[in-house]
Amino acid sequence: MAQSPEINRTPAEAALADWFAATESGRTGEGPIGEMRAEAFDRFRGQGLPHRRVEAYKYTDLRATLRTLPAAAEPASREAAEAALAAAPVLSGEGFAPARIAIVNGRFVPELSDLDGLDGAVSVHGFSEMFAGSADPALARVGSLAAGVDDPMLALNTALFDDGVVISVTAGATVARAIELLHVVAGDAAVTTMPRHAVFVGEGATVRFLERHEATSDLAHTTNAAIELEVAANASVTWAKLQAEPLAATHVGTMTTTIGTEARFAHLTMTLGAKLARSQIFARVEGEFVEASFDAATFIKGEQHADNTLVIDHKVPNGVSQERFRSVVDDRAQAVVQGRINVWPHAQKTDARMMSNALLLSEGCEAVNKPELEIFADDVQCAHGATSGQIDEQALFYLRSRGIPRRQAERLLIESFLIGAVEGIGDEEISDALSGRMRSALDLG
Amino acid sequence: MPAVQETIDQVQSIDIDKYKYGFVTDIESDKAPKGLDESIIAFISQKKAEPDWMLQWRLEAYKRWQTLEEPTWARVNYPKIDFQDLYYYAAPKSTDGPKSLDEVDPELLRTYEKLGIPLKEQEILAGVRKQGEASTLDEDSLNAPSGRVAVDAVFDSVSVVTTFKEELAKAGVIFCSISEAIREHPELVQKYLGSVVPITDNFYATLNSAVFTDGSFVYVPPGVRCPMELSTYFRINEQNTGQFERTLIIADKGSYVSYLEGCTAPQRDENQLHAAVVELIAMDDAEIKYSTVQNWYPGDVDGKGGIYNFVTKRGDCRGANSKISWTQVETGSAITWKYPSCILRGDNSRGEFYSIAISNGHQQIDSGTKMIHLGRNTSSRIISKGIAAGKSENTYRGLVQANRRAANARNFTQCDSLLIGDQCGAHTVPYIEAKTPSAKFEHEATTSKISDDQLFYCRSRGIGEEEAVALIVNGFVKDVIQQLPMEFAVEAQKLIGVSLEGSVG
Repeated sequence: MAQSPEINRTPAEAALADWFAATESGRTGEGPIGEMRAEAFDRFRGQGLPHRRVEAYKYTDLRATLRTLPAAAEPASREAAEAALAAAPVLSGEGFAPARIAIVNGRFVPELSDLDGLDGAVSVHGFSEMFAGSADPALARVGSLAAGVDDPMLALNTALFDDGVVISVTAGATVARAIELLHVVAGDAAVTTMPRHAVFVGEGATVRFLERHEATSDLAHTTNAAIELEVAANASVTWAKLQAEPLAATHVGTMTTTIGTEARFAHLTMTLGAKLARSQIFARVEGEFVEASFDAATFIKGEQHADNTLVIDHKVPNGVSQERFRSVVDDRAQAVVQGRINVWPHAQKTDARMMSNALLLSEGCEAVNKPELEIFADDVQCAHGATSGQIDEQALFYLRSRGIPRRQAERLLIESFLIGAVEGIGDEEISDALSGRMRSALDLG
Repeated sequence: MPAVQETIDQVQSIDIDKYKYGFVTDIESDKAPKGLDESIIAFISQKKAEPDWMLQWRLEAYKRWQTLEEPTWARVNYPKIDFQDLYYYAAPKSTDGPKSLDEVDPELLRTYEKLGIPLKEQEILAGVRKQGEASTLDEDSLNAPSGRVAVDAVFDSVSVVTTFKEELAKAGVIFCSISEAIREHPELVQKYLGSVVPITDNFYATLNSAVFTDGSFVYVPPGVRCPMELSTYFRINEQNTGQFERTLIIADKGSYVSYLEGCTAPQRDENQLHAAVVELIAMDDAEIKYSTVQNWYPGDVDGKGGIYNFVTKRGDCRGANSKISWTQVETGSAITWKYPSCILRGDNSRGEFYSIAISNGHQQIDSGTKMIHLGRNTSSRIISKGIAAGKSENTYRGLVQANRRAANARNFTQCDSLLIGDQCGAHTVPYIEAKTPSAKFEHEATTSKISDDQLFYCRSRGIGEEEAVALIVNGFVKDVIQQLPMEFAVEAQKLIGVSLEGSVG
C-alpha cells in the first residue's frame, strides 16, 4: 500500500529529500557507508513516512503527525552544550556515577564526556572522527546489524545520521562502571536530530548501558535515533533506555540487536516523555541457550502517545525470552504495545513469554495491545497475555481501610504496577535510579 | 516425544487424502455463461424472478466491487483468482419449485443421503436421535416434537429443498431460501439485507452482494422460541463454479433460534471459490446461536485443488440484552479466510465465539473474530483452538475493541494453538483496543506441542499412543465442542479424528 511520495509528498518528506540531497556528496558519504546510505534512502523514499496503512505503524501514524519537520540540528557551541548537559536531570541513586558519553544535538562531544575507568576495556569513537580518517575496523561493520530489518525510520536514520558513537567492548572484559549515553538538545529552536550508535560487545564481556533522552527545554524537537548492538557469545549486557523528551517532542528510537550463544541480555524501556514516542526493538536470537528479557514501563498523560514495538526472532533452539510491558495511561493519552515473537523452523525448545498489562486511569485514554505469535517449530512453549483495565477496587479498598487516603493509595498501586517492569532489568543501581525518575513523574501527575 | 519421527513419517505418508465427501453427483445442470458482467447479474436476478430493487442493489454492489482490490493482508498464499473464469450460476435442472420431497430429483436426495443429511423427515427422526429422547436444546419447548432439524439444502447456486416449512410456519417462523424470501417477504429482506454487512464492506462481501445466488432466510417473530434446530447444508458440485450464498437471520424481540451449517464439496483438481455472507440480527432479549461444521474439500496431498473459503460472517446484537454465539469447527477448505464477528450495539448484549480450526496437509487457515463493543455493559468471550499438522498454516486473527461509550465492556479471550509436526506454523495476531477505562480485557494465548507429561500419564495407564494423543486433542478442544448442538458435537468429534488421522503419533 506504499504510496508514491514522488507524487504525493508531505512537506516533511520533501524536507527529508532535500536533507539527503544536501548531505549525499557531503562529509559523511564516502565509501561503503555512502552506498549504504543511498540504498537506505531509496528504501525510505519508496515508502515515505510510515502511516496507518502500514501494518507495523497502524496505531502510530507518523505521516499524519509529522507533516513538517524542524530543521536539522547544527553542532552546539561548547557553552551551549555545557549548559544543556547541566540542565539534564541528575539521576539519583546511592553512589551511582556512570561514565558519560555526551550526545548534544545528535553529536558526540568527547570533551564533555567522562570515560574514566573504561581504558582498555571499552573504546569509544565518534563517527565524525572515524570518517575523518581513523581506520577502526568496527566502522566497516556499521550497518551490518541493521541489515535485514525493514523499517522506514531505521532506513531514514541510516541515510541521514551524521554522528554518534561506535563502542567496542573487549572480549572477556567486565566493565564495572555503567556507561551512560546522555542525549540532550541545546539551543532555543526546535530541531531534528538523528544520532546513530553502533555497539559491539565482545565474547564473554559484561557491561551495562543507560541510554537517556532528556528534556532541557519544552521545544518540539524531533528525534530519530538508531542503535545497533551486538551481544557476542557468553556476553552479558544490560541496557536501559529512559525517554524523557520534552512533552511537545517526537521521539522515534530503534534498536536492532543480535544475541549470541549463551549470552544474557536484559533490556528496559522507560517512557515518560514526548508527545509522540515510538521505541522499537528488533532482536535476533542467533545463538543457542540465550536468556533475554525485554521490559517496558510507560507512564503517559495529557495528549501523549507512546508506542512500544518489539519483534523478537528466535532463530535457533533453546532460547528463553521474556517480554513484559506495563503501561499506565492517564487523561487522553494513548498507549500502544505491539509485540511479536517469531519462532523460526527448527528453533525447538524455545520458551518465550510475553505479557502486556495496561492500567487506564481516566475517561478518554486508550490502550491498544497487539501481541503476536508466529510459530514454525512444534516443540516450543510460547505464550502471551494481555490485559487492560482500571485500578483494582479491592486493592484500593484494602489500602483505604488501612487509613491511606484514596489518592495516595492509587499512587502506591500505580507505582507497584510499574516497578514490576522496572525491576525486570535485574540491576539494582539502574532500577533504583530509574524508579526515582518514575516517582517524580508520578508526583507531577 | 520431541523427536516424533514416527509422527512425521505418518504425516507424510497419510496426509489428508481421507476426504470422504469427494464424490461428484452426475446431475444435469443449468449454468450461466462463464464470467462476470452486468448481464450475468441480470441473468441471475431474472432466474430468481427478483423485483427490480434487488437487481439495482446487485448492480450497485457490482459497480462498487469493480473499484475494490483483493485483500492481501491475511496470512494465506494462493495464485491470483481469475474472476472471469468462473461460473456464477449453476443449478440442478429439476428444481423448478418442487412442492414436496417426492418431486425432488432422486439423484439429489441420494447425494444428501450419502453426505449423511437425510432430507426426509422420518429419516431425520430416526437418524439423528432416538424418538422421544429429549434434546437438551429443546428443554423449553416441551410442546414441540423434539429431536428434529429443519434443513435447507443448497446445491451449487440454489436451494433445492427446505424441510419442515409448514410446521415452522405454525410457530410463525419463516424459514426458506433467500430467493423465496425476496419474493415472498420483500419488506423484511429490504429492511435487513445489507444492514450488518453493507454492500461496501469488503472485496468478497461486495462480490457476494452482486452475485449471490441463494442461501437461507430465517425470521423468528417476537417472543418465539424456534421449535427446532434450523440447518443449511451447502454442497458445491459443479466444476469451476463459485458458490456465493447469502444467509440472513433475524431474531425479533425475545426470540431464540439455533442454526447449523454444514458444507462439503467434491474432490477436484482445480480450486473452487466459496464466498458467502452471513448476517445475523438479534433484537432486544433475542438470542441466536450459529454453528458451523466446515468440511469443504481441502485439496490433495500436494495441496492441489480444494475450496477457497472466503466468508464474511457478522452478527449484530442490535437490541438490549441480546446474544449472538458463533461456534465453528473448521477442518476443510484449502484456504479459509473467515472472521465471524459480533457488533455489540445493545446495552448488556453478549457475543461469543468458539472455534476449533484444524489444518493439515497444505491447508491455510486465517480465521478469528471481531468483538466490537459499542453498548454499555457488553461482554464477549472468545475461545479459539487451533491445531496445525502437516505443512499447514494456522492463524488466529482477532479484534476486541471497546469504544468510548462502551462502559464496563468485558472480554475474555483464550486462543491456544497446538502444533503437530515441525513443518507447520501457528500464528496468533490479536488486536486489543480499549478506549474506555472501565473496559476490562483479558487475553491469553499459548502455543505448544502435546505435553510429554500428559502423554506419559496416559501411556502409563495402558492407553496406546495414538489413542492418547486423540484423547489429549479432544481435551484440548473440549471447551468448544461443548458449545455445539448435540447433532454436531458428535460429527465434529469424528471430524477431528479424520482430519488428524495419521498426523498424530
